[in-house]
Amino acid sequence: MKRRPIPPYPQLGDDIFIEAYRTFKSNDKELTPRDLDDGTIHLDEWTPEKELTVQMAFEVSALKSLKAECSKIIRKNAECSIAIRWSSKGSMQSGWSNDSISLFDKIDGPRTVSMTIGTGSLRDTITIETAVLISKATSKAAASGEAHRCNIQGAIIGHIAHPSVIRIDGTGSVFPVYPTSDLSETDPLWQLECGWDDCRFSTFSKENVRILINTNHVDCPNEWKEGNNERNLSPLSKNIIRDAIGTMLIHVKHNEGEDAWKAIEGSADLHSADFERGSIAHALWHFFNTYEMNDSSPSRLMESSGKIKL
Amino acid sequence: MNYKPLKKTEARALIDSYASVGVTELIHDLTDDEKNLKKKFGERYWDKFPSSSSSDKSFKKIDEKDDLELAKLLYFDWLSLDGVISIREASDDGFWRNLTCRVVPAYTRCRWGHSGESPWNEGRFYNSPQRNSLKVLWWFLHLANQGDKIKTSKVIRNCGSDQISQIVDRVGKGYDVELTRAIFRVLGKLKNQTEISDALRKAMKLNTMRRETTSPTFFKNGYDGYALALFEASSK
Repeated sequence: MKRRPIPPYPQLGDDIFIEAYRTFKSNDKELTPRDLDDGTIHLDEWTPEKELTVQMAFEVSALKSLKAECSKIIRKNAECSIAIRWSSKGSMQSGWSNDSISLFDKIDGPRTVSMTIGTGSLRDTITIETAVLISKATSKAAASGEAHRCNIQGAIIGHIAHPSVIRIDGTGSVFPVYPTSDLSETDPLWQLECGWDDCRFSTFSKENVRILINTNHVDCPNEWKEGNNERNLSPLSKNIIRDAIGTMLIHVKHNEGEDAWKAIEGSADLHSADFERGSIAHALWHFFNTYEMNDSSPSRLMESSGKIKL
Repeated sequence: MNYKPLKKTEARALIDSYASVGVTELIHDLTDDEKNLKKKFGERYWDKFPSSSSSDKSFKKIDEKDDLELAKLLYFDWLSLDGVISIREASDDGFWRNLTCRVVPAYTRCRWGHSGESPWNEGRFYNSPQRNSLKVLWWFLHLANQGDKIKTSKVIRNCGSDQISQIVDRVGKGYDVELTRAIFRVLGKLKNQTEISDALRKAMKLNTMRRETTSPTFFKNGYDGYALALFEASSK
């Protein structure tokens, strides 16, 4: 389970509720986010070849309320601001918005903070977080009772709302199944291709994992045979997918180690998890916890993967 | 660039086929862009690559001193962001696997094929995305880029393969490119490779922790101030 580093100074609590309005735009056109099954969002009208602007808007009351909370944990005469942080392991990039909202300027109307990511920059997923930081430290000595408070310029003292994760590639839900006629009738009915690099960040998509169904096999379910457009899964196909999920989990344990799997399995929630939404680890975490799978032995694991509802 | 992204399993099968037949590469149906790139590599390394494309015996080692020059060629000319590829393509592991395994396997074979137990250094071809021989060089230059070739050459002039690994290996949840470029501006002022190696290792280690709790944007003097503070704090 991922734990944010605990700095030796007070921070805004996780329970703080500050109302914020998130907007996505591309070339000044507002985009409508669509929620996917895995908790990520998809921007249907946007492609990575276009620029993407993320904007967070706050009402006066929300900013004043946040300023009051911040004043309790930073030193007198220090100041703080809101900024946007983004990270995308798949795109190998991260950064901060150049724009920010100072909570210590005169707040006489709603304010926005935004950032724009250029064309052709992103792949897989991007995580957007809204952070509160110390934008001006004070040079004055700490007053009585505030020596433990943070006075480091740039220090993050809290986050507002849960992160938004935008899915750029992949489907975020359906297990990738590929029928192939390249295999012979003596080859296995199905095989699982595991080609991911790090299950915590690699997307649960056909580029990283897929089930190959051998259409030349005598037992190949009809829905995968050439010319058949029927895509309702037969009981055999469902069992193949269930077994593939169990096999994926064994693959992670074997290749990335028991400890790595324990860290994934034990994640309390998506917010604190040390894996990206839409990743292979996320899919496994979802199946394992939703269907109370048992990984005490390979046979128990495969038995319990049979309970997965498809 | 018109290219075919290569899956890890496909890349493995290709390298296995070269190794089993005893050749450095096999003939592939390349796109015009791929042929053009292959030609450039061929011209640069005409004296290193095997004399016959079907032989795996006559290649010569490419020295690591060549890394920086090739990195500059890749980033500023052959695979530039100025219309040849995009960052989205440059972050696609399949793009790099295709280049190292299908388009110019001879380069990686000559540069990395001599050490270790396997003559085919899988990590540099397809198995470790952060070690792909060409990806590492391109991203090193991207992370060091100061706007043009002359300024960039100046800040990386004392860097070697150790520094390339120290920077590129630490992708974390994504490089903060503005920060790495500021780090290179500090590195550019250091005198020699020994001094750079030690200072960079300590500074990058400190940054791994500090970036979780601090943003360079509000730091005194912004990214440059943050980068300088990393080196100062880690040298104490």
